[in-house]
Amino acid sequence: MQKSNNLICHRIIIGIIVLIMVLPLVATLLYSLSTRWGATILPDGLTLHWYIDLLSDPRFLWSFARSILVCAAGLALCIVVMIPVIFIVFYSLPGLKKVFNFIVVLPFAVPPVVSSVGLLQLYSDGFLPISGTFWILIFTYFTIVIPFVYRSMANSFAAVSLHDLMDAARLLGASTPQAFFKCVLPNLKKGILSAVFISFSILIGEFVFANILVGTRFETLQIYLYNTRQVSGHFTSALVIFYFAFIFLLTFIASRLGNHK
Amino acid sequence: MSYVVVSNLTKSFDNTPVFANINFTIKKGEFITLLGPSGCGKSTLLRCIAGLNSVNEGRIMVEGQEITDLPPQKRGIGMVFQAYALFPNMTAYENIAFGLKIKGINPKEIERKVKEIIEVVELQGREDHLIDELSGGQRQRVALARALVTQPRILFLDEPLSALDAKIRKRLRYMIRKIQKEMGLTTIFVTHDQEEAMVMSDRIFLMHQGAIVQSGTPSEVYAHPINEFAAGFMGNYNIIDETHSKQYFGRSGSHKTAVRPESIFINQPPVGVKCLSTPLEGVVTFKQLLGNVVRYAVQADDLDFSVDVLNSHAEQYAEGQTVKLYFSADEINDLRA
Repeated sequence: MQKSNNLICHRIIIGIIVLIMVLPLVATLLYSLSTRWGATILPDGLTLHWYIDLLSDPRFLWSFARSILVCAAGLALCIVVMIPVIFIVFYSLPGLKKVFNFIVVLPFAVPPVVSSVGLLQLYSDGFLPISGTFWILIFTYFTIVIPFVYRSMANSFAAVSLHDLMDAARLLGASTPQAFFKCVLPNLKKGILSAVFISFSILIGEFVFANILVGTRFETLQIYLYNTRQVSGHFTSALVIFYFAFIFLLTFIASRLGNHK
Repeated sequence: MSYVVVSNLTKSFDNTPVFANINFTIKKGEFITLLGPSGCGKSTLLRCIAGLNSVNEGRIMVEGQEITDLPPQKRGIGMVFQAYALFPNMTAYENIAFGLKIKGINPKEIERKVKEIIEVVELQGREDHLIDELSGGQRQRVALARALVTQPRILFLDEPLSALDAKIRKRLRYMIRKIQKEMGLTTIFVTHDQEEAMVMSDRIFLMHQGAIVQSGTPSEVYAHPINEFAAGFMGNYNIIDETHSKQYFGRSGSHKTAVRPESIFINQPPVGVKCLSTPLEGVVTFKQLLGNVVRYAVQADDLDFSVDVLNSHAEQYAEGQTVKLYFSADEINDLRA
């Protein structure tokens, strides 16, 4: 009796929390599908009108493409740089692991608003005047995702017996790079892929850096969302739902890849 | 001429010596075991000869060629690791073929050689399995095949059987020895298991604290341990201190002696074995059945002796019984300090 009471109680609590989290999303979805939803409890009628508008807006499509471009470029850069760095740390300089665990969380230490002002001053002139261009955004995104990429890949490196694999491959005649690329890297694929998906969904939702560093000169998805917030609530809702669906897909893929050990 | 010559090899990590002044030679086709407790430097010695670690001093020669400073790729050494070190992204076949592919051997030749070696290690039908689909014994056979297929000048086995259960271990150690003999492969085997070392080796190099303390055939090393460590590691030797050695066995009193439990006889020396004329009187304090052998603990004066008696027709002795101990005269080993 006591037990089933407890169970009911637990279910109610979970139910309430799920409701709190899902309700705004459901309301937004409904709003994005309704013709008009003003004075009534339920919308007047349903339509895909707002989605058609959204997907036929070249400004939206361009901003989406720009977002994907800067995120993918920043992330790709990060992966290409971090793979050899993590390899060297784990293979030759394991003493540096502690140092890296610390360094790697530094991007979290400075609030985006503060660091973006600093970046703006640093790169407005001098040897690398890239403020206001998408280059500065790519390099900034590179630093933002370092913690996620490092953690996820470091876990993969720790899971394979790196030294044994390298030793075995080298004794069989492989050079150090051959040993790494043929015998170690393929075993890190899952870790790298899950790092990619998690980092990508974080970057594509990034607003502060994009807004301060490049703003309307390079309109990303988040800036577009911000700029069009006055147009129509229905339209913005459609955009939010579209964005949510995209992120949901990415995280779903990431979690699937993470579980497939 | 010796096939492998190691001279004055010395290695330390950050001023902590791992081994020093290692010298030995190996003939072609010999099966050598580096035997010693964990931490004695045997694995590091093997890794240094393989080129996976550098050495501080000394030379390594194989077939008259100095390989001390060569990278591991160019030494012609095949190695089997304790933890298999197989490539998880490849099938059994791809693992075995890897060394040949890297060397750029033509695909037909690779296929022929890999098929041949798969038969030798009895892995037919497992070629397309990924590594994590194989059992421990199968994995280690893939690792063995991977090392053998490149026809190395020396085969290194770094505790390859330690991770396996007893039954598979026995089967695999028979298989390794058989293949090694058939191929005439010069082999260095590292283990901490003295039974494994005795069963498999042509010669044993017994290591302790970074030095080879004794080397010889298994029966030499087993029957004539050179010091207290060797006696303790190779068997259940009774170690008798200097004073008692003098008193019982007429030794000089400057060194200890060691006597194997099976070289001591209770109450009656067997026919044909020359024993010391005066037996030692003692009391059985403990009796333990080990299967084929019954082990008695006998207290004589203030010393405890282990005595092994074959568990066949032998007379049994009860705890508390007073017995006479006869020592086989030729099997009292003088130990170096």
